[in-house]
Amino acid sequence: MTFSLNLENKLDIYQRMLQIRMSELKMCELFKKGEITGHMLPCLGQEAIPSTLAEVYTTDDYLVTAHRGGGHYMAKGCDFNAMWAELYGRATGITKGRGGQIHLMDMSHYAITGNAIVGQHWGLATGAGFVARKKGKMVVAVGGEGSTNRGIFHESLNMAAVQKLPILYVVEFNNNQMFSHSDETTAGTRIATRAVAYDIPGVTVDGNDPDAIYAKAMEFAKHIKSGKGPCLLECITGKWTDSVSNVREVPEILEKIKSPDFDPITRFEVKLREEGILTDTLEKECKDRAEELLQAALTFAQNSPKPNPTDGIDEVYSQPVTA
Amino acid sequence: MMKNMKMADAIREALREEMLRDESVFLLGEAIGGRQGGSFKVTNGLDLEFGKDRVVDTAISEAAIGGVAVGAAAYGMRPVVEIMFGSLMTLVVDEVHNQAGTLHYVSGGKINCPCVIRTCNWMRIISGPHHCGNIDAMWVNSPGVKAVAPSNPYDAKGLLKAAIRDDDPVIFIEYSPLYTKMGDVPEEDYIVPIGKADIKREGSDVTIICYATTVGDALDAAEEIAKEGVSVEVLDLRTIIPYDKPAIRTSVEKTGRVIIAYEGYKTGGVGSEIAAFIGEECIESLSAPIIRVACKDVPNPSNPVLIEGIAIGKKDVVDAIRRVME
Repeated sequence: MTFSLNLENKLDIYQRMLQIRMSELKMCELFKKGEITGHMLPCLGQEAIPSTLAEVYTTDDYLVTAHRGGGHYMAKGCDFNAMWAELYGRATGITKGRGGQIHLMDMSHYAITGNAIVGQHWGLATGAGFVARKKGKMVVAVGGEGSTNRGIFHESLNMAAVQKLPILYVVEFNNNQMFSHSDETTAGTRIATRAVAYDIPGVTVDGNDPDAIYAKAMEFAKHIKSGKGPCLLECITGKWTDSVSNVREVPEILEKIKSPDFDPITRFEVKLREEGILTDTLEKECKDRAEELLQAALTFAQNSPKPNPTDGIDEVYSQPVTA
Repeated sequence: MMKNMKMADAIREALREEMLRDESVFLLGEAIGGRQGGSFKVTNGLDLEFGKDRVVDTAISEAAIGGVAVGAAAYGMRPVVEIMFGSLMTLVVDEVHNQAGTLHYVSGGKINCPCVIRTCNWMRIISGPHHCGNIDAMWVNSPGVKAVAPSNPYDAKGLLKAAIRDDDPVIFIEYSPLYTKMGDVPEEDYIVPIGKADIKREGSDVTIICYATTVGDALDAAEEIAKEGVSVEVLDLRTIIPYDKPAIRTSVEKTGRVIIAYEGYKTGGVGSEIAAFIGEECIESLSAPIIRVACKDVPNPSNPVLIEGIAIGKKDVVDAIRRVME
């Protein structure tokens, strides 16, 4: 059975990609202006992956991601206003201004979409897999290829394979881990081949093409939900910038990543037009909607109170410790 | 009604009863089921009763075991995982310190991390520096983490039940020489609250603050020195973080003399924190300097003769009592 996106799915994906792109660009802009501070890792250039996975998992499935999780947070429908309040360090932020952009998490949507120790989220996702197995849900775990050289990635795949845990491991291959290119630091040409070692399905797809991601991810989700164990999906993509303050990519490669032939949003727009789905009017409507949501979130954040310094010393334990 | 049993059996009973009481409790670790039943047989037979989904034997994968503890807890279960030796806890420092310990706080108080990580220390069994040793103090310096270390079967069972029911990550530190220690344990359900110390012997001249194996050393030393007319109070911390400040304060105010005995490395050890607390908050009650009785800051040698040069026992505590009484 081949899975393909219907018209409604496609427009939802497009809308999500626009919202993520606009939000992440605004984050970079406001950081440069000094209006917001902190350690922030945009997913610019990778928008197709979170936007498409949102068509694969259900609202009750678990989502565990790592660095660059903002797009996944937004795509799962987590509180957008509270995310922006978090970027502004406000008391109304999703984690009360404590975690910032790299610890975005919204458990009301079963989403732990931030973790700043590269690779550690693979282990957390594997733990979530034990819960998902008991409750008949699926875990979608996402991280960059830079995290797949950590031992925890391999320990997790091994354990999940043995236990047949319902986990879709997704690798966003942007060929860029901190200051190094992965092809200079990583053995083997494709991360997906690492699945062979654990005797689980693994495949590489064009991570800037929602149709390609969806077809394979849905096939894997079916496999996973039938109790056959985890799968590994590698999505080839590119990222514009490492953090809001560091680009760290060579100009020629960056130019390629941003080109219309590679960029996921431009490519999808061309495709949707060819398919007769997207018109000028519709494109404007989608962009206006994304802009409207962003403006509302910015207004919410900017009008939210800042925390007091003493607001950050409680809730270390779930109950206060007396002494 | 009380039953007399070994500490290892008391721990197994706590695990079993909590698994019967709450189906979200499950066990995970290396060789905890199957032929072995845990390297010290603590979990022996539980896999047969509860099945392999709830007593999960894993590969040698401490990082994944720790990661599973955090992830499963965050998503609503109560994992109790085993790290075979205390010295292997270094392999889950990130999972405990950076992940479990921070999750409640960094989620804005919205996500709990109710996991228990059981491990086992010893100093005197001759297995060298990678199997022996003690890093208990690491958890004292890890915000959001709780750590308990029982000294007898009653405390072990009650503390483990409390740890499993607790909504925060708890390191449950067993000391292998105590597994065979006998003691009375109630037949009915009970817990020993986390954060509460216990006076194991009342006295008026010296307070010995201790936990796990050193409780026995302190009680033996107190018995011996009583013949010389010295009255020793033995305060079993039971919880090393968050430790029982009121109990320490009360005892120090009563005796004015303090010895802290712990079977870990002396410098920066658990007792160093307790000494700092007393120095800050109870200094006016002291009539003598605080003495720490602890192991030398030396990696554990794999040799029964050499280990005597770094480890501590009853004699070291008796010597300390004489010094503090001078």
